Amino acid sequence: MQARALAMSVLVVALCGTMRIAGADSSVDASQSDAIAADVPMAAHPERVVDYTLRATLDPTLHTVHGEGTIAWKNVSSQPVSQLWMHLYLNAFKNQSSVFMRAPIGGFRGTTIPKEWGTIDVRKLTWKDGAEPHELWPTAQLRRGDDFDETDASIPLPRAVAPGETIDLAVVWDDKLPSIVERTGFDGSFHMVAQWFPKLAKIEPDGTFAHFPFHHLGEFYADYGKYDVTVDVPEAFVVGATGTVTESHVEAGRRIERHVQDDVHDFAWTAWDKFQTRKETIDGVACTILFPAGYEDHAERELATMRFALPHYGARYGKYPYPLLTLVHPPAGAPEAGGMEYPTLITTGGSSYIPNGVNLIELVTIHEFGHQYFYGLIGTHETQWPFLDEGLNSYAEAEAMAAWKGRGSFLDLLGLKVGDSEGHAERARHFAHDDRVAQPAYAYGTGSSYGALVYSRTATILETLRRVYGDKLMQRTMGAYARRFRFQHPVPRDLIETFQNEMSAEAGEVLRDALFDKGWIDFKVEALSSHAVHAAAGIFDDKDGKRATTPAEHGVSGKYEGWVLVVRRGTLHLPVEVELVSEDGARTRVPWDGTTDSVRVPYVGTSPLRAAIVDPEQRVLLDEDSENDFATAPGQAGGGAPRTLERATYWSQLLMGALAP
Amino acid sequence: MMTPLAPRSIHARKRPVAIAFVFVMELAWALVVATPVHAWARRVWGGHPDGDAVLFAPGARELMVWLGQNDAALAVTARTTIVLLAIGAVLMQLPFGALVASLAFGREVRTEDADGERVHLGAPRLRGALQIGVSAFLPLAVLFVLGSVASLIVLLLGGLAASALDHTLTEALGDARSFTVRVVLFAMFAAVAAVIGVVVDLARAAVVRESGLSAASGTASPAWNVMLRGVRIALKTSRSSLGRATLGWTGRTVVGIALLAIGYVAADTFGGSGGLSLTLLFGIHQAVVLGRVALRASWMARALALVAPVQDAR
Repeated sequence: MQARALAMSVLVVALCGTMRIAGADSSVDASQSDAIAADVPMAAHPERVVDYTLRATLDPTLHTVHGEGTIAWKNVSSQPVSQLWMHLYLNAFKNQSSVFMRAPIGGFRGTTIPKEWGTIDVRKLTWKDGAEPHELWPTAQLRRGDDFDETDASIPLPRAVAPGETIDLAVVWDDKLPSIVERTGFDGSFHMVAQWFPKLAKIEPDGTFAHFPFHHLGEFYADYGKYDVTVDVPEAFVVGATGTVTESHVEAGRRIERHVQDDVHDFAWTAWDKFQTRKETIDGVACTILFPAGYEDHAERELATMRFALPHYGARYGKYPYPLLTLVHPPAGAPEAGGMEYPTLITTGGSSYIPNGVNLIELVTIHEFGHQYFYGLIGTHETQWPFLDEGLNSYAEAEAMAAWKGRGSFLDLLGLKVGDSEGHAERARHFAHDDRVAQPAYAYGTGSSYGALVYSRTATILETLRRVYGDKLMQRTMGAYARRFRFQHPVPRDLIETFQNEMSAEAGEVLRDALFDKGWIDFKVEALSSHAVHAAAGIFDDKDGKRATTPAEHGVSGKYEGWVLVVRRGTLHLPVEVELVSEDGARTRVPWDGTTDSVRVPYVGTSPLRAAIVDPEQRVLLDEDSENDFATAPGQAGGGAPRTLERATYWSQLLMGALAP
Repeated sequence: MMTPLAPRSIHARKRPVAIAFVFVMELAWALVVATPVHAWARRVWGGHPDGDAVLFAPGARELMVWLGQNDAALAVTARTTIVLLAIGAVLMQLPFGALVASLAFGREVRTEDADGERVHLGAPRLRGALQIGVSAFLPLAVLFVLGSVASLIVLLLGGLAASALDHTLTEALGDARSFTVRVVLFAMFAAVAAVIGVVVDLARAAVVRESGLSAASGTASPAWNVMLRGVRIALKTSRSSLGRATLGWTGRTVVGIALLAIGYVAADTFGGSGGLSLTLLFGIHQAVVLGRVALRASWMARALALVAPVQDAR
């Protein structure tokens, strides 16, 4: 199944190449002239495939949404289409027989059984084909065989839609929101309304639809278009939604807001009568924070994050193209609504007290904002290739956090500085041999391996390439990828080719091996030795026939020679440095291209060789075991562990004092 | 001959040797407690030319690798350390008893000057204080265990009550404000636990003083009786002086927290440095611990001064 998916992706790439030229409006954004990849053409708009004009009416007591509206869909494939596919993802929460609920996935979010189930019921789907309306819903198929999943509906058409033809559909439906499970639902009067409307699956260039049930670990993949959504809620409710508010008024005790956004592939909204609001324009983007009372400090931290993130991501991956961004901090009772991404709307999270130095709020905020790029602007197939959005975004998150907060980007507290990249590396290390990174979300055996490999392993692979090949080259490569595939739907091959072209063929190969073949690496200092250089001892006859004896203890040159044997285990090839530490304290670094299985690094110095360290700068974060990255020569002492003894003694004294004061 | 001191004569500053003794004992046991983790770190990272400096490096990669290995080292080290800590907490009742005895009693010292021979009460010999500490060990250990259990129960109840109130108020106040209420309520329970600790300390003072008096009079009571008498004296003292006692404890606790802050700033400043910086950090940390031991002695001197009149009135 994976091979088939790969083959299909290759086909999609080939076909998309043509589509990109035809559909993408390529222009260089002049404001990005300081960015390293600013010269790479970047589409200003996607090819518009589907436009939704919807109206949603919320009943916050029954937790229902009544929806109606129109969908204008264009067949942008090369083939006539005689059947539509529609995602009804709210039905994932209809019962325990849905694909979402029955997935045997632990170790990740969204495993709670909802207290109240959720449904989406399409009442009517009409194709206004000229003067003749066709009722499509009676022939729609929600289930296949004995499968009770109703998240992926097929809709036969009375006639085929020709390539390039646009059809208009009228739709009426009703949602019953679940209690918050994951991503969507309600908690009291708080409503997070996502995956809430009948949504057409993405049409591929060959005329097939990329349709799939709502899986526990993957959901996003859709065509770009315009969303024009009117939200109707009780007057007391504050609304946050994808897109700019173009109309807003109160009528008969109801707040009616119209949100319009071009060039996006999804629409989500939230409504709550207890939201507090903070607004600030950052880098030309109107940022709004919606948060519960008492979370003012969090709101400020989220704004501070955006003050850094918007220009940083703009320089790295191209300017954020939308005029607004809404950040929703859900209430404490709805943590599963937090940490999610939708176009121009993200949800953050965190309990009411998180001390400064614990950068959780900043990290979640920057991660979800990063999805505006790696999911939103670069519309990859999350279910098929989850690493392309979560993985690349986790790399971008760690890179940005390090650029902002330094080495304590995850935690900077009590003198301890923990890096986000280092955290990813450690998390990923334990799962490196379990599964491939590049595989569909539904292929992962556990949520833990999905999280560690998709998020952390990908981030670690990319961070390793950044450290090994240099920050500027990495900026150039990732920047080129993000710009070239803006408003496109790239596949893994596009990423690998970008690395091959922009960074190096070797880097591309490392990326491919690490993603597709469980590529791994472990450097080890196997052995080292050195000795004093003497003049040769023994009996020597000179030209005149004179004989002289040079004893072994004579002729000491004051020089030492030796070697260090470094071994590379694993399948990846990465250049690395080997540091030679002399007894007199001198340190010398010798580069090794890492192409062979081992290398014997020669040593020459004025004192014996004391120790050796491979990768002293810790560039290869993929290295499986850094405990074997060094060795000390026989008879030589290492640095010991005096700091540990000091700290452990001190803490023991304090603890004993606290236990028995 | 050990003579009980009058309340106004009980001062920690007059007993530097006893304070130093407790400090040295705690340091010695702390080195024992630190041995497993130190041995583990030395085994894995001691051979690195930079030693365990890599564990303190910003980014904390090696620290996470070290702690994240899939072997039993972390579990074994953690459990051993906890057991050693618990044993130490009990064992330290012995030097603690000696310290309190040293604070509570004086030894007759005769000096001669131009006006003739004078007798005053000096610090008791360490051996004599230790003897009282030994006789008071069992009741002190039982008091320590019972006092800790009582405080933990109060904290547990506080946690449950605060959590329940938090959930009740969330809808009305919002979760941030209800969390604040939760913290405040829990802090109130923590204050109760602290007051229990103060009463237990009064009891410990009374127990040591009782043991010293028994030793001086040549009588001996079962440990359980000594402890019960100590508790009764502490409760009686609390009825009249709990406010003063709590105030005395709180002031010294605040100073103790300030000392901890100094220790934190020092560790933050020196990070994973070695050599002279590490020596300096060790010195600062030990000064912090010594200061805290002195504060503890000062507090126990205050406790002794409060229980002495009540005890002598019996």
